[in-house]
Amino acid sequence: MTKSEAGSQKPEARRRITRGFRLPASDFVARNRAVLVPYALIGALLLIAALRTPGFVAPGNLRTQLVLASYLATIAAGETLVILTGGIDLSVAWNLNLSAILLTQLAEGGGGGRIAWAVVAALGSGMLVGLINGIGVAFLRIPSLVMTLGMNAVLEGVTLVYTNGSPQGAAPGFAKNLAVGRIGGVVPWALIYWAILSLTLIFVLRRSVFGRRLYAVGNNPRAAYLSGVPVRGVLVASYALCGLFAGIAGVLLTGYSSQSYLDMGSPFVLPAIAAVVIGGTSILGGSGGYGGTIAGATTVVLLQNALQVIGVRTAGQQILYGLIILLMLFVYGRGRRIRE
Amino acid sequence: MPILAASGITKRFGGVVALDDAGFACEAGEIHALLGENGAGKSTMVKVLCGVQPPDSGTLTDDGRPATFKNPAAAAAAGIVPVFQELSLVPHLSVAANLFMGHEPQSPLGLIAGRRMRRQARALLDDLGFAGIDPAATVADLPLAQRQLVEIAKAIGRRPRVLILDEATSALTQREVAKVFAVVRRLRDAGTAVIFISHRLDEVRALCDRATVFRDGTDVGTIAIGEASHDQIVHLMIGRALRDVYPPRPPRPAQEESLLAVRGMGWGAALRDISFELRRGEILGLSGLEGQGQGDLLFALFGVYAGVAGAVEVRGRPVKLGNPHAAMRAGIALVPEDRKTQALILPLPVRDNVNLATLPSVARGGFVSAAAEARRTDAMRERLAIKTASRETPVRFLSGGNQQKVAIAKWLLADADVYLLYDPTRGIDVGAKQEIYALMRGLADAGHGILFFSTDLTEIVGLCDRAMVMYEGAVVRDLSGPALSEAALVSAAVGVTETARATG
Repeated sequence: MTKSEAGSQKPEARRRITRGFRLPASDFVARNRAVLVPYALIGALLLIAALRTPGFVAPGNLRTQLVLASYLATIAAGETLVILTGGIDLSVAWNLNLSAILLTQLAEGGGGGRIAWAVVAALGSGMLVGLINGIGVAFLRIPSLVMTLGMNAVLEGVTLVYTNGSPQGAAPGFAKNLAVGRIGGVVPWALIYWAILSLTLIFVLRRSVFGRRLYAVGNNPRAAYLSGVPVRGVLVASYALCGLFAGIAGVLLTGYSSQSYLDMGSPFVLPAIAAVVIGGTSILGGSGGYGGTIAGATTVVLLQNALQVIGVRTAGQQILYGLIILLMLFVYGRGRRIRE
Repeated sequence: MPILAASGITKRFGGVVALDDAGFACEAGEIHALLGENGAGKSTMVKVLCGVQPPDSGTLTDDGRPATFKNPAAAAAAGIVPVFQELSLVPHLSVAANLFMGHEPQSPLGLIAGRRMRRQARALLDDLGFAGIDPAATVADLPLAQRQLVEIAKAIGRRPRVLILDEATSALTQREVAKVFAVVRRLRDAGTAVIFISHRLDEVRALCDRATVFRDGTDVGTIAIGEASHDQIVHLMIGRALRDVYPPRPPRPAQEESLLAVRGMGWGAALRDISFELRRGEILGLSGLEGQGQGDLLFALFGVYAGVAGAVEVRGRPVKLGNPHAAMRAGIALVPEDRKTQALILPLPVRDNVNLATLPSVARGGFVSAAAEARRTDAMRERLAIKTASRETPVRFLSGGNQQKVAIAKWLLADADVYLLYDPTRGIDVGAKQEIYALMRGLADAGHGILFFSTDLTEIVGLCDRAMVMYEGAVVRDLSGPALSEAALVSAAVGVTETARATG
């Protein structure tokens, strides 16, 4: 190496570079702007709601809203992974529905062993569906939108055949407890679960080999491939995990409504994607993370609640989600371009 | 009065100061070079001149009048047209459609007059001496060098007052460079100002009238090319004298262990019956005209292509190269041609890019050790003298040469037996080039083998122990020792062309 030669002109270069030094705090804001926006949004939303309807910010109501957000955030966790790769999963609707139905029908009238088996089947079917999605996208190179939309239709058909049009059974006690139960009547189990999920997922995305590769693949699959990253494996794993999260969401929602029913997943697809996008994850893949999605899911649920309070119907809410997704894409899309 | 001048320009990217009170001026009817090491600020200056990057402070004057170009379109409207190293063509459109993009000839109904456009494209290409390019061809099907020529033709087709060529010749072979030079001289004689950036100093000396030298983000002097010696220019550029550019070749024992043995490798028409051995401690050059299968050979050896015929052995063991991951495990590393799309994840930090290929080795139980990662990144920054504000700086903020160093660092960590390098010094400055040469020789001395493709003949001759010349997918000559000279490489590449035509 010609290190001594390179070193001789170093001090000057170093001085020039450090002249661009900025305060750590402003640096933090700049780096995490995408995540801070949705948290600011929550604050604004709460403020407005509190001024109009003081009951909205009562601790009891906020706790209820956060529990509802934990269900949505479970689906959105899977979508975050898939969207980070640059894909999307539309099959979560019927995937979680099938999991929910498997849970209630297989656990019907059985003891602990039977319930455990039903849970394994519910989560396993969710993951299996995700695995097939991943194989279709990674190996057969089917665009994720098409692959998962097709998968959703297939799952709907399978579910209708399997249930003969009317799902049987009721949610096992443990599922109810997880979804709506509280420790000592105060702290909801669902929030404990959500906290564990969040910490794990954030850590996995930041520090695991899988997480690092996920960002590489989402940003530039070609360079990742030429860097020896097993791109297909990463894709399959993220779709499989997305399926697993859909399965977990199926269990939670079954516990919430004490039963499974047809088309219980569809109302969550658009809000879940909205949660991811509002949370600052780029719909093009490669940037963002679960920290934002947490805020995104909370925002969506609070908004839902606020709209109900004001008296906006479902149709109006749907229009609003669509507009929010488009608006967020516009805002973040511009931000990205300017920073380039 | 200068036709285009910049003064007091400052431009920051994040924490890195790219330009610091820099300026220069060029006259109508001159070819003005911008010289400097990577990261010296040449490319940023060009981006400021043509409206791609607005400066943080400083002024531009266009024919003596203050000017601000809010975007490239505004600069183009003022007659300032750049050609960049990064290609800006639309790959799925024809050459003609690209040449006239935005000002297509129209039929009376307002549709694009395709035939007229192709005719005008043909005329333009013929006029420039780029006769080998078919206006109806799809750009994606052209080799890189021809695409670059189309890019140049597209710029000239807009009849610029100021034409900027930023590393626009770095993908070209000597013959194509000569054609471009002829065109550029003609434009100059017609009164156009040409701003020329190239890391090939001999190109600058052959073509340019004056040069402004940049160092560390500011201009350190403007010289008349004819009056300055090579050494003086280099001294100005790097602030120190340049010693021998190429590291000395150590004498090697005749029979070192074979690291890579290739027998009968074939891939469609692109690679034909290629057999060779790469020995421990050897730098083996790949030469020949551009697009004769050199890139395909490197990709095939890295497991990128399916259905490759023949056998490959690494250190005597037969290996199956099903994909890059398998090639990597077999001990092969590739620094690919295009660092922006193939080698690096531009938005991710230096740290992530450096460790991307070797993540499992800094991880325990599937989780990455932040300390180990930081240590390795810093070790590479030190070893390769990578200039970056921090480990966390996204690589897109680094200059070309420093980006290339990151791409190389990623594979140094993998400690491969065999390094495949595709034109690793393309578009980077002399100082960084020299560092990469020394690094390559150091790797060879440490017992690695290097297969090295370069479009620069002097590199092949100066650096390699041995060189293979390729033509139409086959190795047609193997040169070493005193037989390895620029003349021999050229005549092998061209001489074969003639015999092949005679027999084919």
